[in-house]
Amino acid sequence: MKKSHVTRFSCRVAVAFLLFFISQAFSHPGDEHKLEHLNSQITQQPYSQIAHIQRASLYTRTGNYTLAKKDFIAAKTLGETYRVSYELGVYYFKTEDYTLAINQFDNYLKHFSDYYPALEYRAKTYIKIGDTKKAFEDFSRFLENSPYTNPGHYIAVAKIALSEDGREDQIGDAITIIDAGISQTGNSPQLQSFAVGLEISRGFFDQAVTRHQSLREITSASPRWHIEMAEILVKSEQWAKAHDHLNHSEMKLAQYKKTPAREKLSLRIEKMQQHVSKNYDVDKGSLNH
Amino acid sequence: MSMSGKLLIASTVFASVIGCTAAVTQAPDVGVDPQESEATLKRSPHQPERLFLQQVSATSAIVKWRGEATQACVATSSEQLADKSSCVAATNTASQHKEALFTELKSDTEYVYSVGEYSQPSLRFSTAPPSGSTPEDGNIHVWIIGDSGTATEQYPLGNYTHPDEAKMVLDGFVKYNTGANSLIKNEPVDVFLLLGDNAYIDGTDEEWQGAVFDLYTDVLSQSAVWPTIGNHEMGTGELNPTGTQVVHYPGASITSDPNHYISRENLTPRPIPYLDIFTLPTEGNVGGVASGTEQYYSFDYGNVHFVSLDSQLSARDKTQRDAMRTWLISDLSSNKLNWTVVIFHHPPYTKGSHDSDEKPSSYFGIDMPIIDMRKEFTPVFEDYGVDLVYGGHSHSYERSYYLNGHRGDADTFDANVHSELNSDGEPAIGYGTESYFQVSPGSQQDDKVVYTVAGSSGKVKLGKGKLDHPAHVIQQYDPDSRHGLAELGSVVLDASATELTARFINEKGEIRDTVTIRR
Repeated sequence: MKKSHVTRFSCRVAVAFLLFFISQAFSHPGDEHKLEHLNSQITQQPYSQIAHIQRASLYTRTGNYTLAKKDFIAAKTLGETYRVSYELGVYYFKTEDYTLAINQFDNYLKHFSDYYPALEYRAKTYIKIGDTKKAFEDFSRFLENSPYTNPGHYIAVAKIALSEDGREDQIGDAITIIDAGISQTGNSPQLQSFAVGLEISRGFFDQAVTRHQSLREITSASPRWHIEMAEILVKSEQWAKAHDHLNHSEMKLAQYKKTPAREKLSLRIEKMQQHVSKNYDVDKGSLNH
Repeated sequence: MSMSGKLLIASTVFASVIGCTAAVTQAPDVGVDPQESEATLKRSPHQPERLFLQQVSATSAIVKWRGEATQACVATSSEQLADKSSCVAATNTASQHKEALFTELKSDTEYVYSVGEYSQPSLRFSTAPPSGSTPEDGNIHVWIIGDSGTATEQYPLGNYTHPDEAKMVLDGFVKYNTGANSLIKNEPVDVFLLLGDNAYIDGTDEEWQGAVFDLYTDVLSQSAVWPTIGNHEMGTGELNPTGTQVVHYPGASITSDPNHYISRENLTPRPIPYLDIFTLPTEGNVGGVASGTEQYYSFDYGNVHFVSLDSQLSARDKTQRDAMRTWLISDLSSNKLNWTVVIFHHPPYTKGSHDSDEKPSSYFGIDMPIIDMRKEFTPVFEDYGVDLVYGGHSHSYERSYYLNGHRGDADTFDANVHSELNSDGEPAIGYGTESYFQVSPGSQQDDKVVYTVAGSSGKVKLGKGKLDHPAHVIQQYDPDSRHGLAELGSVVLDASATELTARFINEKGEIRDTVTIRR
């Protein structure tokens, strides 16, 4: 058989597989094997709470909610009810019954307070019902306990704090999260630049400078780093220092390979130098009036 | 949309994602893993189950393994190694791995090493040359494989769909590299890049063993491996195409959370195995700017700056994507090296087994990173001096002209606007008299990039793809003169101080495409 015929035939087989498995509520044999295994386990040990929870979880994750519910009800009668709560919370989340989902996650977290998947699910559930304050708290705890986080996760949670109407210290809370991210994942331009923006927005220019300074080594004090520092200093009207950074930026640019971005930086330096000159007499070292 | 329509789309996506090549002509071999059993039998006494090098820089290297040994030793000669005077106790890392970090090494120097009682002449590596320079032989030699993970691809379970192809590509590379074509004289690989989908079908730890560690054992023990996350590294996706029924597709995960990995064997969310396996630089410790995450990172090797982006997880969430972009700009702004190479899994331009046009790629969001990476990241590559970009995902080879400014679907590509032209006003093809210059003679700027799809290191598949993306070069060896090659193969990249040359090597060890950039 020619390859193209094999491929076409194989595609048809693949599509047939999919339609078959959709109709069976399972997309591949792995689910079926697992279900068979759990069925057999439950037949042998009908009072096993864990087997019922596992089967309910499998039914939930394959969208078979009626069967899932039956197993959850059975599981609750076979041991401590809180052991069912996490998977039952996921079930309610997926069936969009968010209040019941939160009740279940609450119950589970009473016993396993740092279980990060439950914290994350509860945070997502709070987002669904518009309670950003509680979502923020859960996401923060989730980030502390989760195995793999990246700077973007912390920025996302900081944005939740910033989006919350009526929150007392939105920026302060957002910065706290960013600093937790820096402590957890190390200093990086993504987190520190976000924090710099927040410091500037609340007028804390010294903190902005300190934060940007912390990126000096990480960025090898690149021309871009110098110009960004100059921009912060201009905002806080520290003209002499801004002027120095612009000069450094210009000198360093000459050492780097020319790229369109660096051409744009050159223009930015030129414009900023003009702006500084309007406000500050470099030769006299005093403000222009 | 009707239920049948949704199911049809679901079926198409499913067929695309799994590869449409379920080898119905092969007898199923249920329950037996030929690769695993063969590798286990081949293993020498004391040989770790897996052994690989990480983060080899000019002054440091990490030896990583899984096995009984509790220390590793590194020396400049076998005699010195036998003394065991330069040994480091292992640190335990995730999923029973162990690693030993060696510092204060000499640059551009060959070292031999041992792991516990396991010592072989083949256990050797060279440190990188000092930042900004080339090695003593004048060349940095890079091997790149994409979508190579087919040694473990089973669909359905127990049926190996492509048991031999990845090995054939490896053999083709070895044949090429050992001088069969007289260009290369067995030059060791300095940098080994993985473009994602390197362990089908779910990127489980066992699949990494069979598809990577048992197959590329020699390369991994001699050169640092630098991966990127493909869709199959994130296992199986949970989709609800009809709105009424959840189904699971391998390779179709659309989460941005690395802690929400599921496989077809186990639907309980857990961390992605990829991050448990590799130790990647998060603090800029091998050059580049600290990224704070192993999901994307950069490193320097001599005069080449490499960047590995995350188009599978970070790219799927706007906030995370913006964060990655902020980091990339900071990283590239600080880069002073001669050449810059970027890798990520989802190719911005392809008409292979995946389609980079917006409409086909939007189904369920599985291929949305193709669009987002093209729209939001290709402008950064062009503005910040990137030379080459590599992706996989489509199971063919496609290599672009020298591009700038093409962000839309394939039908918006205008060679006169978006590519470097030759003296006849045609798109320059990138080799021979039409090699590219880093600073484009046309624009007088370093503003152009060559994009390559190299996703045929484990299987060839086109699906509905016609290899007709006009941004890609018409391939001289393609029998139908298409803009790509439906051939198994990998890419070999060579970087000197003045020239960057990439060659596509097929499974027979033949060069099928070449592109050169000069500076």
